[in-house]
Amino acid sequence: MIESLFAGLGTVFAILPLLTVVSGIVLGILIGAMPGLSPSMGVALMVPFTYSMSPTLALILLVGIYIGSSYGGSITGIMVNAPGTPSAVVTAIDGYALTKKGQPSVALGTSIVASSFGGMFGTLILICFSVPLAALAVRFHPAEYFAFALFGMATIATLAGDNWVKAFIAMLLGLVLATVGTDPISGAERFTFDLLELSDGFMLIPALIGLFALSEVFSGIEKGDFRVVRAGSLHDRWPRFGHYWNLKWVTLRSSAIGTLVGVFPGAGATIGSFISYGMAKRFSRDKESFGQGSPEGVTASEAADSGSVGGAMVPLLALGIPGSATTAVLIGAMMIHDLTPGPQLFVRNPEMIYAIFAAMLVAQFVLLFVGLAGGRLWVRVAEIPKQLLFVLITTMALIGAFAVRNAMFDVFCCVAFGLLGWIMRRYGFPLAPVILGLVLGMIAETNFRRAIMMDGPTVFFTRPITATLLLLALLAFLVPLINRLRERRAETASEEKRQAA
Amino acid sequence: MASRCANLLLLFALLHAASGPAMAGAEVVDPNGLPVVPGFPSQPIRLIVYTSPGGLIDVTARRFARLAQEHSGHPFAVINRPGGGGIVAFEEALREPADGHRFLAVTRSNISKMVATGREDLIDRLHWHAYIMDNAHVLLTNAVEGPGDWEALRSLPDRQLWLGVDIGGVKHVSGVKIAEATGIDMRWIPYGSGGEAVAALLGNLGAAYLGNPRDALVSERLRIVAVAAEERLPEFPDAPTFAELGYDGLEDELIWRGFAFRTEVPDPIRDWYTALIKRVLEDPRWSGSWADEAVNLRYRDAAEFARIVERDREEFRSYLGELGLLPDTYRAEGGLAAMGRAPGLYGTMGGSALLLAGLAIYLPRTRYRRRSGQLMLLAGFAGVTLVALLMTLHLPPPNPVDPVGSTGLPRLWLLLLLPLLLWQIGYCLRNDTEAPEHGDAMRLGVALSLFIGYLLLLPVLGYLISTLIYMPTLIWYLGYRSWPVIAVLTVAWLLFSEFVFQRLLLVDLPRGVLF
Repeated sequence: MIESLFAGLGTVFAILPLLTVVSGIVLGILIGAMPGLSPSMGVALMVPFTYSMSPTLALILLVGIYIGSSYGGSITGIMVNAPGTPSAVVTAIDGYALTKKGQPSVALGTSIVASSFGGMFGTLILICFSVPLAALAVRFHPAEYFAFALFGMATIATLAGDNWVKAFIAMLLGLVLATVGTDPISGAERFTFDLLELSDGFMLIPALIGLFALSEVFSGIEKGDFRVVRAGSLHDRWPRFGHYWNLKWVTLRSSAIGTLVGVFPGAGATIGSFISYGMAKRFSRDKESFGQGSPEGVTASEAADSGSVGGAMVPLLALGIPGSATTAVLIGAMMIHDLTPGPQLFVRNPEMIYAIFAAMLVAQFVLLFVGLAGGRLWVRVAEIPKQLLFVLITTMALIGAFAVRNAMFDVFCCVAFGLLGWIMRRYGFPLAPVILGLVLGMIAETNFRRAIMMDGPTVFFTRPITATLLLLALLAFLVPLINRLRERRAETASEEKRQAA
Repeated sequence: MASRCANLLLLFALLHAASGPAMAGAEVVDPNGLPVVPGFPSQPIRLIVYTSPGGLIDVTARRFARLAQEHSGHPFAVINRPGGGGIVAFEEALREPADGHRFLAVTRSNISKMVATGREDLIDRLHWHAYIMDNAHVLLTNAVEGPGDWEALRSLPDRQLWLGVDIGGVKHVSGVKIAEATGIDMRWIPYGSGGEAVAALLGNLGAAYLGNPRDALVSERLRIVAVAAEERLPEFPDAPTFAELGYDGLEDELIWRGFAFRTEVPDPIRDWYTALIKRVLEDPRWSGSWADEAVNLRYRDAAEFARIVERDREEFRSYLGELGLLPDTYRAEGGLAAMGRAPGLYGTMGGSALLLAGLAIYLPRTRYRRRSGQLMLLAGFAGVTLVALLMTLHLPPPNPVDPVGSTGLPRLWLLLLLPLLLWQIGYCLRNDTEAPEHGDAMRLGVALSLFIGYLLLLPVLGYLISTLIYMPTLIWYLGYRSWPVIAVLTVAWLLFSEFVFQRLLLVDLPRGVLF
């Protein structure tokens, strides 16, 4: 394997492949940074440009775009609270808080380093353990996917902040919204009001843009908050090595979680990001800073997000099964280039497989370099007068929402989500739990029902992995809540004592 | 100069007129060998795919577009418009002008979806132009851990799990037919995609998977135990057909793929497509790209294709009716149910809105005025929750196969949400918290009106003109006064939108009636 990998590196270290990797990463970052263009859309848009390329170069370009766009979504999340992908929602929680505190460089620097490390970790796991991990992934019963989704939802306990009732209301709203559309099991139309456009439920991208980007604009306009955050102010220095070194454990843990979750087909990067964020807060010595601009929060989300890229490539390369929406497009691209994805690729085209592995490793270094260089440019976004920025965001939101299906309906949905986000923000409801519910609701429901259809309701207790995961999810829900209740009781008691004294 | 130009034009017109009768008998072809259609194509041709990128129909469309571009010399772009099992894509194609610049990649699944959703009108409004390929459905098993052949599958206990996709889809209907014909008591487990279902089969989570022959290439552990075709597949010579196994009537269970467009597309453009499709299908690279995938490449013209579509429609009507998957199969009765179904539903919603409006007037006059906004929001959520609960009465109830049913989880979430909302309302009423600073609602109101006005202008004036009006107006209203910066930003953004989104990425911008 080592020789093959070196051979792959030999293939990549030539002018044309290196240029392809760099182009892929730059294009990917730009695509990811545009609200509305998801990684899968970005890769699909670029497939026609690869027709004249050799299959190896084509895949190197597309994988580069995948890696770049997975990171790019966090840039707009950090700078203007408009996450480009669902998983970047988690990055935006602390990333945007850092920007508002005048420290966008800290957020951008932390995110790019965590992203590169996570990507590298995921790639190494892919190279070393793709076959056994794929064998493990296919054994996951729907009951385990359901438990996974619950585990992701348990993050609500860490996102809740002071008012857990509002956080639960927000998540349940997301879960209810996730049930809109055609029921995937029975085929019944639910809450669609006979609107054809709702037959597949709410499109995630317009919902995301509305809830975060538009609501931020509406709140900013209402508050008349047109102050410009000066990058390069006293608090905003590009992080040094020591900053990243202090985040080593959270980076490592989150990369591992992201990679592992990414391996399971259909689980997606979002669950990984939310779970990592929850874990990071649980293990952090500075829990209070989460949600207020914690570099640990940014690291957890970004490392997991990028780690999931390597994870999602495991079932793709080992079995020819897509682990995510973007890998489904990659499978299509392989077929267009007359390659048969799956284990036969290792037999028929091993040089190509190892060239892809090598390109993925190289791409992480390119991402780091381009991200660090570009970060100094992105920081300047904070200096654009808010009046201009707000108006630009609204037009970008329009194009992003419209691009999903070429329908004004999605644009109006985006505006409706914007108003919902604005009013929820106005009365102190957190927004991330809505996305948590919206993304995980469908995964939870379909797998819950599928599990019962296959093996009855007892399956949740008879399968050891399911039972363990469910127990962990329950603990993840309850422990932070119980701790908070205890703290509040202690605070009340000390307050009463003080008043009595 | 002007008169010279006029003379040249006159000469050109005369030559053109003179050449007309001479060429009337022969087909006029362009340098690529395709019939000449004046004014067509005048823009990139969009091949609309009804799924997200990556599926088999997407791959088919992209392989076709790649070769069609070469054979026609015109750019082809594959556009994915997922939603409603094809309805969103079909609606879009029907909305656009019938100038032939948009055509649809279609499969047999579209017919089942149209029938299942009561949108058979879409079948009639499309011209089913060319049938280009099909592949037989096959039954796969995990030969290492599960049944290794048909007899082993047959001998499994009743209620065996068959993995697949889409309830009411083509494969589900084929699965039901196969189970009926073979006397197997199977339970259909729908997965989100074929890939997920194949992964589950590899994990031995089901007895069989009904899919395409190429699914067998995923792993050597997978084996085709029966083929729903007349003859064995050359690529899988060991796999028997159902007829060989003694079951008749399962020789034509397949999925076809083809192309369709609006019925109003003129005949010359249809002929242009016919010629192009035939050229692509004759290209050895086309057949080469499908080698080893057990795909039956066969062309059928529009007349034959229309007959096949009609036959499929009848078949799906019959089977989906049997499965209770036709629209309005289930209808709840009772007073509460009536409130959750139109027109009673609109009454319920109107009543809730009136109640909220009453609260909006009443609350600010009470001692709860500082919390009136939050109370209104919570009451609004509670109202929506109740309406949604009423709407669940019209969903099909759980059944022995799906004990949770389509109502289970929505009701659970709504019933968890309602007490939390009531608790929060109670908390708000009990605690007279300080009203937060909200800022200038009027400024937001005006800005929002401008934004919504802009969105309403788009279908009339189009993206470029509407944005040209909207951007400077809102920036100016928000208090930014540097006109040069506003002008440069607006123009730069419009150029970026046009060149990067519209032309480079082929991401369409909203078009208006006027521009």
